[in-house]
Order: sequence, then C-alpha cells, then structure tokens
Amino acid sequence: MNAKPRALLILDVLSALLLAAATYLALIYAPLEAVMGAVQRVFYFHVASAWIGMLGFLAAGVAGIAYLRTQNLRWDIVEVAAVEISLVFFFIAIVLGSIWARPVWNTWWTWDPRLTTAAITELIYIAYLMLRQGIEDPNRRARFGAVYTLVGAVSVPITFMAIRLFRTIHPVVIGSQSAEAQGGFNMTADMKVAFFFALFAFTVIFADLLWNRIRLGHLAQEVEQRKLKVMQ
Amino acid sequence: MNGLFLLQPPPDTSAYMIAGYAIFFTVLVIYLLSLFLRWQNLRRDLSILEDLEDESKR
Repeated sequence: MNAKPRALLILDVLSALLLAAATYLALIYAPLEAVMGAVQRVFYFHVASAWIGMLGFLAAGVAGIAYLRTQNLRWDIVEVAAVEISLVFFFIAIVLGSIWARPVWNTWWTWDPRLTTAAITELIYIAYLMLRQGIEDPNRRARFGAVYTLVGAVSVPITFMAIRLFRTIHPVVIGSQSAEAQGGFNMTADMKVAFFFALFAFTVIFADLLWNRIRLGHLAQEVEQRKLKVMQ
Repeated sequence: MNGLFLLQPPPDTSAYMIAGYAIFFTVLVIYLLSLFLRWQNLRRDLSILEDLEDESKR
C-alpha cells in the first residue's frame, strides 16, 4: 500500500482547521440563545452530525447500486466506509440531541417520531455491519451489502421528513414546524453563519474520513487476498 | 410582568453544553484512534504475509 497521497494529507489538515473554526463559531461567535441558554450551542454540531449521518447512508445506497451494476468490489469498500462513518456521526447526533432535550424538554428521551425513526435508522445500519461479519465469501457479502444499503436508505428520507409530516415535539429549524414543537427558535444572522459553516465543515470532514476509510478497506482487501493465497 | 420576564437572564445550561461537546470530541478521537490502530494492525499482517510468501517461494 502506497504512502498517504499528498492531497489526502492536505485534506486531513484542512478538516482539522475547519473543525477548529466550526467549534469557535459554535461556542464563541454565535450569540447566547435567550430562552435555552448555552445548551442551544449543541444544536450546531447536532444538526451537522445528523447531516453527515444521512449523507453517508445515502452515499452507501448509491455505492450499493454501483456495485450491483458493475460487480466491482471497490464499490463495496466505499459502501462499508460510508456506513461506518455515518454510524459514528448519527450516534453523536442522537446523543447530542438527548443532551439538548434534558433541559429543554425535561427528559433525556421520548418516543417522538423523529427520535424513533433516527434510532431505528441507527439500528438498521448496526445490523448491517453485524450481518456482514457472518458472510465469508466477498462477492456474496458485497451483494448482500448492496441490497441491504439500498433498502436501508429508505429510512433516511423517512427520518428527515418525520418532523415535517407527523405531530412532533422536535423543532424544525428551517421551515414550518408542528404546533406541538418545543425548543424551536429563530436563528439570528450570526447563528446562521455558525450553522451553515458547521454543515460545510462536517461535509469536508466526511469526505476526508471517507477517503481514509476507503484506503483502510483496500488494505484489508489486500490482506484478505494474500491470506487466501498463503493458505492455498 | 412581561417586561420582568424579558429581563430574566438565560438559564444556566452550560453543563449540558460542555457534556455535549466533550462527548462529540471523545467519540471522534476514539473513532480516529480505531482507524489508526486498524491500519497499523493490517500493515503488520501484510508484512507477515509477505514474509511467508517469500519463504514459500524459497
């Protein structure tokens, strides 16, 4: 396996800088929200993490389609990489949401449509990684994974639309929200800067992590192939 | 009465904010560490397999 490409090294550094800037904007630059206080600042990373989660799950579905069309195992590596990174960020989004909910809703968790669909999506993809472990043949594993992520991707728009279609206490920051929503607020111009910058920064971080994770996948594939060769 | 409400300072929810960001960075560091360790382990496996292949060729 070759040394890390220069472009990837630059992307690593850029991602770290963007994360630092996003943290500064969220914690210092954005004004203190009058009703919720400091906990509202969790919102910037909560939404950005959820965005990365959904983006990755959709990307995995696209990689699944690409694998089914081409039968090229490279797409399987992309698919696993996208799912793994998204699982981490979606988990963060759920935990941050729970932390935000404690002082605002007075509960860590409630079986609201958004929270429920988000938890189901996370569990669907945890099951994906677990089930893959049980299939030894790489081609069968890739075919199973491709179909699974394609079906699993359906949970993403359902989760996204849950707060727009159902009666829910989860606020909708952009767009109209349910009358039952609690904890909603109007973003000031400075808050919007922190919010959209976090979305941008996390998208770059996702691309960086994806590239790194794909390289790891290629290395794992090489080791697997050599193991088979040595055993023969 | 409404005026008095507006003068109230925001509630102190900074502990939740700190917890949120602490968890975010902890999970991120653990994931980055897992990527690094898996890479190191695979590199080691690859080098062992290359040695085994060389030995079998001899």
